[in-house]
Amino acid sequence: MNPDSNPWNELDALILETLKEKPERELPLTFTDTLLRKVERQLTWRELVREFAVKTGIVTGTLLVLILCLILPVRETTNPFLLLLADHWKIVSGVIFLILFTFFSDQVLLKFYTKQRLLDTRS
Amino acid sequence: MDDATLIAQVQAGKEHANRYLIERYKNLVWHMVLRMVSQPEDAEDLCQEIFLRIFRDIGKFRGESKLSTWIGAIAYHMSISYLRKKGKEILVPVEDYFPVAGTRPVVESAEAALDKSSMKKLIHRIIDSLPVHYRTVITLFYLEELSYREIGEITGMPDGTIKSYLNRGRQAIREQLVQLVPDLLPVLAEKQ
Repeated sequence: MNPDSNPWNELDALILETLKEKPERELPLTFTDTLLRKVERQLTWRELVREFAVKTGIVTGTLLVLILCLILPVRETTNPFLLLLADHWKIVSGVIFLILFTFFSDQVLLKFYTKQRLLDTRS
Repeated sequence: MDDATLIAQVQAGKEHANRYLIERYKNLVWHMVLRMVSQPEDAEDLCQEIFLRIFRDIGKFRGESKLSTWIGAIAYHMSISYLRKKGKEILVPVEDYFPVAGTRPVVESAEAALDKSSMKKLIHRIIDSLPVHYRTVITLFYLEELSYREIGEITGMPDGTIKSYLNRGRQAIREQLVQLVPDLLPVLAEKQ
C-alpha cells in the first residue's frame, strides 16, 4: 500500500465521473417525430379556430351594426319582423346557435380532421 | 443557427426549425426532467408537454436570456408543478438534509467497491434519493455544464444557494457511500 495514497481522492474522482455521466435511459428514437406531429396538430387547430373567430366576428359585427341601426332610431319599434323576432327570441337563439355550430363544424372540425388524415397518410 | 434565427423560423411554422429546436434541446430537458421526476414514463410525457408549451409560448421569449436557459426554466417550473400535483415534497432547506442511517437502500460488499460499474450504479441510486433541488442543481452543473448564473436563471436560486446545494450534495453522496459500504475506504487505500 502506498503510504501517501488518499482513498478519498479516488472516491471523489469516481463521484465526479459519475455525476458527469448521461443517464442510461434515453428518450425513445420516435420522440421527435411524435412530438412534431403533436405540434403540427396543435398549430393547425389554433390556426383554424383563429380563422373561425375572425370570420364569425366579422359577420356578427356587421349584423349587430345593422340591428343597432334599425333599433336605435325608434325605441319602440312597430316593424312586424323585429317584433316577431323579439317574441320568439328562444327559437331565434337556437337557430343562431345551430348556424354557428354548422359553420364551426365545416370550417374547423371538418378541415382539421381532413388535414390530420392527410398528414397521417403521408407519414 | 443562432437563437434569433431559430425563433423566427419556428414562429413562421417551418417544420425543419421545429425539428432542429427539439433535437438541440431535448437532452437538456430530458436530463432535467428525468432527474427531477425519477419516473422514466412520466418524464417522457412531461417532456412532450414541456415542448408543446415551448412552441406555444415561443413568441413570449424576449431574448433577455439564452434560449437554453429559457427552455430550462420552463422545464424546471413544469417539473416542480408536476411534483406538487403528485404531492411530493419539494422544499427541503439546505440545512435540513442529512443522509439518514437505517434507511439504506442496499449494503454492498467491499469487493463491489473494486467494481467501478456497481459503484456507479450505487452513486446513481444515492443521487436519486437526494431532495429534488439537489438533484436539479447537480444535473445542471455537472451534466449540462451550466454556470452558476445560468442555473440561477433557470431555478431562480441565488449563487450562494446553488453553491451550497452542490457542496452539500457531494458531501451527502460521499457520506452515504461510506455508510453503505463500510469497508470502502480501506479497500480503496489497499488498491492504491
